[in-house]
Amino acid sequence: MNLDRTNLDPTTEAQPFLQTVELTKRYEDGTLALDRVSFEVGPGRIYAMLGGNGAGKTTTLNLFLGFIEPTSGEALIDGIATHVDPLRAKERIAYVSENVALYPHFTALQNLDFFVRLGGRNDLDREQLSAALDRVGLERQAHGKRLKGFSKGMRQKCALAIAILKDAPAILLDEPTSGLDPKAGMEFTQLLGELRDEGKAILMSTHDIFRAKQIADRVGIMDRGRLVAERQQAELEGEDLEALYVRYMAGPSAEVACSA
Amino acid sequence: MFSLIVRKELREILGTPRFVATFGVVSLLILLAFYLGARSYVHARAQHEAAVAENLRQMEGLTDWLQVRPSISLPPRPLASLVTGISNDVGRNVSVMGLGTLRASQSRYNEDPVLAVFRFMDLEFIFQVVLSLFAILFAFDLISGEKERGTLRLALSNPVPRSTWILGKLCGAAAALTLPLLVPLVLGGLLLVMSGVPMQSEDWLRLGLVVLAGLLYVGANLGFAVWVSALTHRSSTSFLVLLVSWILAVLVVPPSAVMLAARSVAVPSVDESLSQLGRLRTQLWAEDRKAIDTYLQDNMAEEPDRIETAAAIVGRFNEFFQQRSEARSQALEELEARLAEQRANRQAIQERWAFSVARLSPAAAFSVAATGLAGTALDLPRHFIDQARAYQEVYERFQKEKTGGRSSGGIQIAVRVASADGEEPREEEVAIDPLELPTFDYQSPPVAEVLRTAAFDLGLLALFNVLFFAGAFVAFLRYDVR
Amino acid sequence: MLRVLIEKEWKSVLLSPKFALTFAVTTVLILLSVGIGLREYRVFESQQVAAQRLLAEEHLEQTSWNDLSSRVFRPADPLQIFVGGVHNDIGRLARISSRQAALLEQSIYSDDSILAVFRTFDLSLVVQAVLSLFAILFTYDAINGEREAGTLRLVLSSAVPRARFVFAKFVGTWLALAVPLTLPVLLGLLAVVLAEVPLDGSHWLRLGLFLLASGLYFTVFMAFGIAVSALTRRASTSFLVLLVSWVLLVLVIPRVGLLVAVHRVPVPTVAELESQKAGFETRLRSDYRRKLEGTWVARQREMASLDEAEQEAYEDANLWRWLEQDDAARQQLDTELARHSARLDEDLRHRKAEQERLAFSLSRLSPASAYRLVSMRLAGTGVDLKNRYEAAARDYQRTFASYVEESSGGGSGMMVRRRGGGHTGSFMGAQEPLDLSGMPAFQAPRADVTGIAEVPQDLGLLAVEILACFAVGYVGFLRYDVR
Repeated sequence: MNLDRTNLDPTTEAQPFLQTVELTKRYEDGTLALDRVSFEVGPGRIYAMLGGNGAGKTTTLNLFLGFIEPTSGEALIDGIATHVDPLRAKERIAYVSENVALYPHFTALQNLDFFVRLGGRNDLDREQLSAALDRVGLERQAHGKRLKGFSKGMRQKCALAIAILKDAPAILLDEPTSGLDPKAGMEFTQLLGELRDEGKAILMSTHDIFRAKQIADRVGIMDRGRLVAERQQAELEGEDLEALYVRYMAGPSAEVACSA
Repeated sequence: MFSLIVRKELREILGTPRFVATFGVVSLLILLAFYLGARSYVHARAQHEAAVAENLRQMEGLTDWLQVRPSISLPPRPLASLVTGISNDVGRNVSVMGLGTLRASQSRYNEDPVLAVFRFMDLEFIFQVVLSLFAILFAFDLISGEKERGTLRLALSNPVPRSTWILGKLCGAAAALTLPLLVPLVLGGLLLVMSGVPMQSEDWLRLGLVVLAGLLYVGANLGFAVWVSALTHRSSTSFLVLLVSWILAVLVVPPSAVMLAARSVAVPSVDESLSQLGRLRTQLWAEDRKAIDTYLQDNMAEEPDRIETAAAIVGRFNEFFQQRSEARSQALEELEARLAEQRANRQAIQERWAFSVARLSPAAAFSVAATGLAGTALDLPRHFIDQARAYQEVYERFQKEKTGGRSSGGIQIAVRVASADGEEPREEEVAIDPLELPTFDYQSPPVAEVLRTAAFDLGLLALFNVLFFAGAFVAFLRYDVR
Repeated sequence: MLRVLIEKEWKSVLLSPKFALTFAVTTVLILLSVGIGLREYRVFESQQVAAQRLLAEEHLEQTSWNDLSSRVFRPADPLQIFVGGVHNDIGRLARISSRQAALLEQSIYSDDSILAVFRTFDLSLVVQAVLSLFAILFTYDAINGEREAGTLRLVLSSAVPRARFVFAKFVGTWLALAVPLTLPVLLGLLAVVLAEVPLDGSHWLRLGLFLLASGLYFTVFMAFGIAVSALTRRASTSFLVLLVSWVLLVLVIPRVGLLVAVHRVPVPTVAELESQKAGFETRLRSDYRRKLEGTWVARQREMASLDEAEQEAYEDANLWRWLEQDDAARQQLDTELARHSARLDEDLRHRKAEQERLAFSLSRLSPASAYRLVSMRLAGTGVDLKNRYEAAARDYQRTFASYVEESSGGGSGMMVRRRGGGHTGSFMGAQEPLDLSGMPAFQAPRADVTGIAEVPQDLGLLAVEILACFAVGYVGFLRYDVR
C-alpha cells in the first residue's frame, strides 16, 4: 500500500490520543470495509476523514465505539484498544452521531440530563445543563420543549451540548454538518474550533470538502476502505484539496463529491 | 446507572401520548369488564334465587315427598362472571331423581344462543386479547426504535455495559406496562365490592392469582416483543412479525391445536353411553315387569278371597318393588360408572394431548391457568356432577326418612284400591314443608387443589417470561448497533 | 394516467415484503380453517349417523308403546364448515316423547367441553379478525406515509388531480389485496368440493353471498384505513388510532352491545320456566287424580247395592262409556298442560326476540358484528338455528304423539286395579318388539327461506360504511396539507 502522506504533525507523533494501527475490517459477507488504516489524532487537534459513501469512515468510527470488532489491527483511545476494553475506552470519548433524533417525547433538558448521567456525570444541575445549551446556541425557550418538534440543526446542537457536558478528552463526530444550513454550519465549526483550543482530540467524518478545509488540522482522504492521502492544514493552503480528492477517488463517488 | 436507565424507560413510555391514549382505553375496558362481571353476577344471582324460590313455591301443597323431584342448579359465582371459562357451555341444571344417572342439562349458550354469538367480555378476554396487544404495541420498537432514532448509538458510545442497558430497559418497560394496570384492576376490585358482590377472602386470593397470571402473560408478551425487536433492525418489520405471531398465538394456535389434537383421540360419545344405559334400563325393566306380573298373579292366586287392607297390599308390594328397583339401579349404576370411567380416561388423554399442544402459545397457558383458578375450567362439569351425586344421596336419605323407607327409584307405583264398601282407605294427607328440603350448595374446589393444578401453568408462564427475557437479553448482546 | 397510478399502487403493495408474509399467513390460515371446518363437519356427521343407528337399535328392542320415545338429530350442514356460528353451542338432538316439550340438548360444547375451552376456528373468524387487521396494516400509511416519504409532493407536483390520486389509491390497494386473497379461498372451496361435501344450489348461492359479505367487510376496513390515513399527519398516529379502533370495533363493541341488551331485557331462564311448568303440572295432575278417584268411588257406589253377577253385567254395560269418560278427562288434562306451557314458551320466545333485536342493533354499530350476523344468517348457523329446529322438533313431536296414540290403540293409561274379590288387571303390554315401520320420519328444516330477509339489510349496512369511509377519505385528502 502506498500512502500519499506528507510530514506528520510533531505533537501527534509525541502522544496521539486517538490512534488506529493497521486497522482492518472484513464483514461476514466478505466486503473489505477497512484495509490497514493507520492514523493518529493528538490532543488539541481536529482530524477530518474525508470520503464518499462506503469509503470506511463510519466503519472507523464504529470500531472506535466498539460496536464492531476489528478483523486485524486496533483502534486505540488513550492507548486503550477499544475491542479489548470498550467500556474504559468509552469513558474517554464523547460521540455526536449523524442525524440523531434523540428521544422525541423528552425535552431538550431531559435528553441532556439522561445522556450526561449515562456518561457518568451525576454532578450537573439544571443551570449547568442550560448553560451548555446556551453555549451551543439553542434558544432559551426551546430548552423545555419536547424534541419531536426540533429541526435538524437544533437536534445537532443538543447532541453537541451532550458531548461538551460529558467533558471527555476526545470527541468523535459522524457527518456533523451534513444537512445544516450555512449559518448553523458555521456556528458549528466555530464551536468545534473552541473545543479544539480547549485541548480536545477531535475526529470527524465528513464528505464536505469545504468544512474539512476550513477547520481540520489534518485531513485523511479515504476511498473504498483505504486511507489514500493525508495532508496537514498548512499544506492545503497551496494544494487544491478538491483536485487531490478527485484524483484519489475512482468511480461514481468521486463525481458525487465534485458536484457537492 | 441501572436505575437511571430504568427511570428513563419509565418516563419515556409513560410520557408518550400513545401511552396515555391506549392506557385510557385499556383502563376503561378493564373497568368495564369488572362492571359487566359484577352486573352479570348480581343479575344471575337474582335469577338463580328466583328459580330456587319458585322451585320451593311449586312444592307447596304437595302431600308426598315422593312427588318431589328437586331440581338443583349451578349457582353463579363471582369469579365465574369475571373469568367465564366454559361455565356457559356446560349444563347448569340437574333434576335429581331418587337413583340413577344424573345429567346436567341446559347450558347457558344452548338456552340463550344470542349470548354465544359474540360471547362475553370478561377479564380473561381483556388480558388474553387486549392487554397482550397493548404490551406488543409498546415493546415492538424498544430496541429497533432506538436504533432508528440514533439514540442507541449515542447511548452506547458511553461506558455503559450492554447488559446493564438491556436489563434497565426490560425492567423499565415491564414496570411501565404492568404497574399502571394495577390501578384499574384495584378500582375494578372496589367496583366489585360496591356492587355488592360477596367476595370471600378465598375469592380474593383466586382473583389475585388470576391477575398475577395475567401480568405474567403480559410480561411474556412484552419479553417476546423485545426479543423480536432485538432481532430486527426496523421497527416496522418487528411490528409485522409480532402482529402475525400475536394472531397465531391468540387466535389460531389455541383453537386449532385443541380441535386437531382432541379429535385425534377417540372418546366414546355421550350418545353411546346414554344409549347403552338406556338399553340396559329397558332390558332390566322388561325383566322386572315380568317379575312384577308374576308376583301379582302369584299373590293374588294364593289368596283369591281374602280382602286385605290396601295399606298392607301396598306395603308388601312396595317392599318387593323396592328390592327389584334397587337391584336394577345398582346394575345401572355399575354400568354407568364403568362407562363414565372409560370416558373420563379417554378424556384425560385427550386433554393432556390437546393442552400440551395448545400450551405452545402463552395465551393458552394463561387461559388454562385463569379458568382453573376461577373454577371455570374443564373440571367444572365433573365437580358439579360429583356434588350433584352427593346431593342425590343426601336427598335419597331424606326422602326415605320422610316417607318411611319408600324409595322413588325408577317409577312411581300408585296402587289405588277402592274397597267394596266404597270407603276409601287413604292415608292421611299432610302438606309437606318445602323448607325441609335439603339445600344444594355448590362448593368450588378448594384453593389448595386449584393452586396445585394452576401451578403448572403459572410456572409455564413464568418460564415463558424467563425464556423471552433471556432471549431478548442475549439477542441484544449480539445486536448490531451500526 | 389513472392506470399508471393504480398500477403503482398494486405494485407497491405486491412487492413489499410484508405482503409476502401476510399473504402466506392468510393462505395458511384460510386453508387451516377450512381444513378444521371440514374435519369437524365429518366428525359431526358421523356422530349424528352413529347416534341415529343407536336409536334404531334401541327401537328394535322397544316392547311398549307407553315407553316409546324417540330422538331427532340436527343433521350436519355443509355451510358450518365456513361459518360455525352457534352450531357448537346449540344442542344437536331433541328428545321426543309424547308428553314432554321437545328442546334441543347436548350441545357439542357441553358434551365435549374440551372443545369449548378455546372454541373453534373458521373462515368467518379469519375474515373477521385477521383479514381486517391486515387491511389496516396495508392502508394505515396510504396517504400520510407518502407524505412522510416525500413521494406525495413529487406525485402531486405533476398534473394529477387529487381526486384521481385517492381513487387510484383505493382501487389499486383493493386490487392488490383482495384479488390474491381469492386464491386461498378458492383452494379451500376446491378442497370442500373434492371432499364430496354435498352442496346444492342454495348452498352455493348462500356461500356466494357469504363471500360477497366477506369482501365487503374487508373493504370497509380498507376504506377506513385510508380515511384515517388521510386525516392524520403521521403514519404512527394513524396506526395507533386504527389499532385501537380495531380492538374496539372487532373485539369490544359486539360483546358490550350484547351485554347491555341482556341487562336491559331480562329473560326468564329455562330453569325458572320449567319449575313453573312442573308446578302447574303437579297441581293439575293431583286435581286430576282426585277427580278420578271421585269418579271411581261414584261408580263403585252405583254398584254397591248390586250383587256380584249384576255388578259384572253393569260393568260390562258401562265399561266403554267409563273408558271414554276417563279418556276425555285425560285429554283435557293434556290440552290444558300443553296450552299452559305453550303460553309460557311463547312469552319466552317473545322476550328473547326482543332481546335479540336490541343486542343486534346495538352491536351493529360495529361492522364486525354486522358481518358476523349476516354470515351466520347466510350459513344458517345463527341464533335462529335453535328456533328453527325446536319448532320442527315440536311439529314432529305432535306427529309422533299421534302416531303413538294411533298405533297403541288409544288407552295408554297404566294402572293396577283391584276390586274386592275380583280379578287383577295386568298392566303389562305386549312383550313382542313393536312394529315401528310406520313411524314418521323427521324432516330437518332448511335455512334458506327463514331470515334471509335481513341479509340485504346487513350487506347494505356494510356498503354504506364503505361509501362513508371512502367519502371521508376523499374529502380528507382533498383538504390534505401536503407539506
